Amino acid sequence: MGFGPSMNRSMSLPQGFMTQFHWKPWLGLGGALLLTACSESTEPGETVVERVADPNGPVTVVITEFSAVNDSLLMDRDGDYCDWIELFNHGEEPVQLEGCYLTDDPETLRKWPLPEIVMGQGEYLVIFASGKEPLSELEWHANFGLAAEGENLMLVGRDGTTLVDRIGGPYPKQRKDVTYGLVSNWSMDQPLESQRDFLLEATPGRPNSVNLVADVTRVQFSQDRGFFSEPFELRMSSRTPDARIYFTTDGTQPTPERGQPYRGPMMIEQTTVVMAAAFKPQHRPSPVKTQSYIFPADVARQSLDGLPPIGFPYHWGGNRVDYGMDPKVVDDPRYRDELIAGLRSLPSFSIVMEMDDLFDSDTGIYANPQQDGRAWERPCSIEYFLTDGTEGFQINCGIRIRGGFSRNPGNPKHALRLFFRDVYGPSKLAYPLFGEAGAQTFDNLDLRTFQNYSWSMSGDSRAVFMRDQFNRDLQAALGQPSARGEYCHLYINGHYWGLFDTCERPEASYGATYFGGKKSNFDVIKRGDRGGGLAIMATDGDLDAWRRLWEQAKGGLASDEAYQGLLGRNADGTLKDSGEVLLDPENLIDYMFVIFYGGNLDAPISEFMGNRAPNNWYGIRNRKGNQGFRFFVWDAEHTLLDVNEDRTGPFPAGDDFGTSNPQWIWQQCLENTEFRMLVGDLAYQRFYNNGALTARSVRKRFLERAKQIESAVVCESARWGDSSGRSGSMNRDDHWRPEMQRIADEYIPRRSDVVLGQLFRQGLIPDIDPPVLSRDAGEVKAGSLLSLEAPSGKIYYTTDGSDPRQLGGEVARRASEYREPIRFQQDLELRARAWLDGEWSALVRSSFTVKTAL
Amino acid sequence: MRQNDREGVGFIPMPLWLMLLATWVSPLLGAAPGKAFQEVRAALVAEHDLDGNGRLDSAEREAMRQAAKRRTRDQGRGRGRRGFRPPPEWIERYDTNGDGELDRGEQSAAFMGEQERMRKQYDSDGSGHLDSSEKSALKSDFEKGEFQGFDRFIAMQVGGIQRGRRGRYGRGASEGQARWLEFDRDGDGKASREELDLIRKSNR
Repeated sequence: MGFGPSMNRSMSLPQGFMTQFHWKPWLGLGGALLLTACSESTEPGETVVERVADPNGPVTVVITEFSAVNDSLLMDRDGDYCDWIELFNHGEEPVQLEGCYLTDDPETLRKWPLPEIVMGQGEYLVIFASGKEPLSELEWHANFGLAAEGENLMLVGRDGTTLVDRIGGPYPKQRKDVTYGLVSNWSMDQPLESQRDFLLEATPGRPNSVNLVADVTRVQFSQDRGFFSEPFELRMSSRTPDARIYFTTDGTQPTPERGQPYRGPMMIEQTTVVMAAAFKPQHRPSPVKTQSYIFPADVARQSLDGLPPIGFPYHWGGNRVDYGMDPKVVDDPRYRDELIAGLRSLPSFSIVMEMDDLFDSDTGIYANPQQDGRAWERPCSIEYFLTDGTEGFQINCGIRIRGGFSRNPGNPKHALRLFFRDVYGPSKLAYPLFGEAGAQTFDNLDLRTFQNYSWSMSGDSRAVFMRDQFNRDLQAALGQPSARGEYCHLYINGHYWGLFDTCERPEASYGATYFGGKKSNFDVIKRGDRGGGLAIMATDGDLDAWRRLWEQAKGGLASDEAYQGLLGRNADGTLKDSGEVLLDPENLIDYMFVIFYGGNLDAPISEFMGNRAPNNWYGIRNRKGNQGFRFFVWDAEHTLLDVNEDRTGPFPAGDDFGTSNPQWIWQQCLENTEFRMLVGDLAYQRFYNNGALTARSVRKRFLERAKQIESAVVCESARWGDSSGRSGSMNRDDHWRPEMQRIADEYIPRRSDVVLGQLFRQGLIPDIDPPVLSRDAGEVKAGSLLSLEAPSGKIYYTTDGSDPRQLGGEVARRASEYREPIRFQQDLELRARAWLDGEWSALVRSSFTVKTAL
Repeated sequence: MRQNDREGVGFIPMPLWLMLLATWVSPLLGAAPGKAFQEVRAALVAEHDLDGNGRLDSAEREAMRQAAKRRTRDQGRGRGRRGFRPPPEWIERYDTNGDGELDRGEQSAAFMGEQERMRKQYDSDGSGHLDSSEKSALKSDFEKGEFQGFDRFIAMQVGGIQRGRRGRYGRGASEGQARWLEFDRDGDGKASREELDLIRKSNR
């Protein structure tokens, strides 16, 4: 279902409607049960009419309507959209339903016995057909569901055999969110079967609508969304004969009442967002389709004087208002042409939605940025288009403001979160936003922007728009799962809103996508807010496993029994029969390396809270899997600042469960020799031999990311460079580049050494040089030789990928002492360490594939 | 480059492609730890190599690790809020070790102590917490400007006072923006072409 003409059809049963009964056993009336049924007009506390029905009286009830594919029509009290059946008492007297049955199976007529309900004359009763618990005090659920492809549906009399009403033979294949039942002018004088049809509107608990003749086909546009430099003629059409198209260009949902009728081709000469739907009497309106036509040359001159664009509001509730491009940038010869190119240099998102849903003082999400939750989610259309000819998408979804501190109403540029739900359109976005290696479907998506060290919020000359994205990139570069993201431009109702970046949310759906398993099996833990206070919370699943991890760590991890226990192993490292794996130590170590490398002041322990509280971290674990918690870099804005920053701690946050966090787990793990050894091994992999945290690798990765936004930053400076009013206009060459170069030429070249020094100071780097190999890993010739050399001590190695050092520090049984070069005869997984006076170096890992001569 | 900037020559922006190219040729960009790490290591070895064999064995590294832990703890486990300069009366009240500064632990105690002090000041019924009327009294004093400096911050914490809405346009509305609504002739709150023309005319 699209949003718009059919958007408001979703409903839940009104309070006090017929499904809500208050039972009152009435003794002394021949055992008859009396009940009070609240009508729609009954207010709480109002006297209600008590009714009696003859338990043996005629069952003057028919099935008036049902929904077999209820996607967004009627919600039960659990928030589920279940099938439902509507009954109606067409008789002159109340009817006692007890003893009657509903069934979808001609062979089992007594499938679901109706409860003790009296239906008054002319009253409706809605029963969900869900298979849920059959009886509740508030609503009824039959013990079967309705088949969308068609089956029978029968109301059976008290004898268990008489068919009071029957829809079937079977009923036709059902459609999503279209109900089937008696048409509005139905009569008992004619066969009911001939009066049933698909209905134009779902009306649970109310008289039925006229029959639905058909759906109006969607509006076709002669021109697809994208960037334009020349005016063009736009034509719209619908394949449904005599359907009328209504459209809007300001985000308003097009209806016959609120839209303009389409009368013929129209010229599109400037940036325009068109929403259109087609209508025809007794037809279901087409879904609303949206097309954004962006003229970069026109965007560059939007609201140069800062006044609202036509149709935009003068104020954003309590939020600071900021419209328009900065003429100082737009007219600067350095940027004039590059600005236009910059708009095309990245993919673009275009949000089109009701202005009031954004900016109304009382209900707009942008005007009330500190509000959160489902109540502050609004429908919108989002389009995605690229400039390389790749097809994008348009989808209707829900939108909220995202963020914590940045929700401050003094901030004019808020981050946004999109939710893909049935109620708006498809329940998932199906599009490879992050390429073939990334997720192919999404439940939600973040459009992040830059808050601390930004031009828009704080006029900060340190803005590079890369801190968070790059830290997430670093985590991925270490081979760890990470929240993917890509840069993009954003337009809101055709007005340029600046540079953003997408960001996956590390939640249950992420776990199911990348780690496998059911979404419902994932625990997702983060630091959140509850009741205005800090809390460790499970956004999916529960806190139980995280608590067990914290408690075991709290008990001390110096012993191998305790530490290996977290890994589901015995003290000697062998697997426990039914050991619970709570921790992935390599993931934790890599996560902390990224934190240390960035000098992260606000994750997972916040220096701004005196290092006594956690912040900005996610942990994910599959309860049914055999992997421990894995942690995600999140909101890493306070990074890449002071090259000598030391975040290795130890810090107090985590001493109690309410402030638990991965760094505290790291600190506890450091008490264990095996963990420290692993830290040393991974540090050697990451900080040596062109590893991902060597200066050269980091700088290359950083600059490649920077290159993606080099032109787009000009657009951001035009839109938001003058926003804070603190420091005049910020621009790329005078502000962005210097900070970029500071990071690239001062921070990165020194940072790896600084962090390694910090780790060394913590006693985590073995002070014995590992062996050096005579050749790089990769393909080798059969029969060629590999030499190993260590400045001091002996060398022990294996060729099967096992560690030459066994747990506890002895030489492993499978390890050999290196005495002479190794001849390649087969593929090797070499592992080697130097050994001196009972001490081991870090582990050298190298894989060799033997190339056989043809 | 920034070096040039320091010499007063001005910042010379370098195209990213050139910077990327430099990544492969710069001797400053190692594929392994460089001199700076070796210097740190040498200094730490000099300090912790008790047996004088020129390297740190596991016992010596463990002693160094424990020393690093103690040092961090002694420093109040982190430096805390950057730029935080407590008022002199706070130092007077909360500098328990008498070093003339507030370390992390003392800062924390100061924030909590000051919140408690203000809470007691407004807890007229002595219930131990502020009910809505007591909070209203605090807010009223806050709005009258009774609190200055850090007291203002503490009052916001205790009274749950949020910064934010200042007028129709939020914080930082310009004088011009504040006048826009005067031109909203149709009262719909949204800009029309005619209204914008009027505003522009009046701005001239």
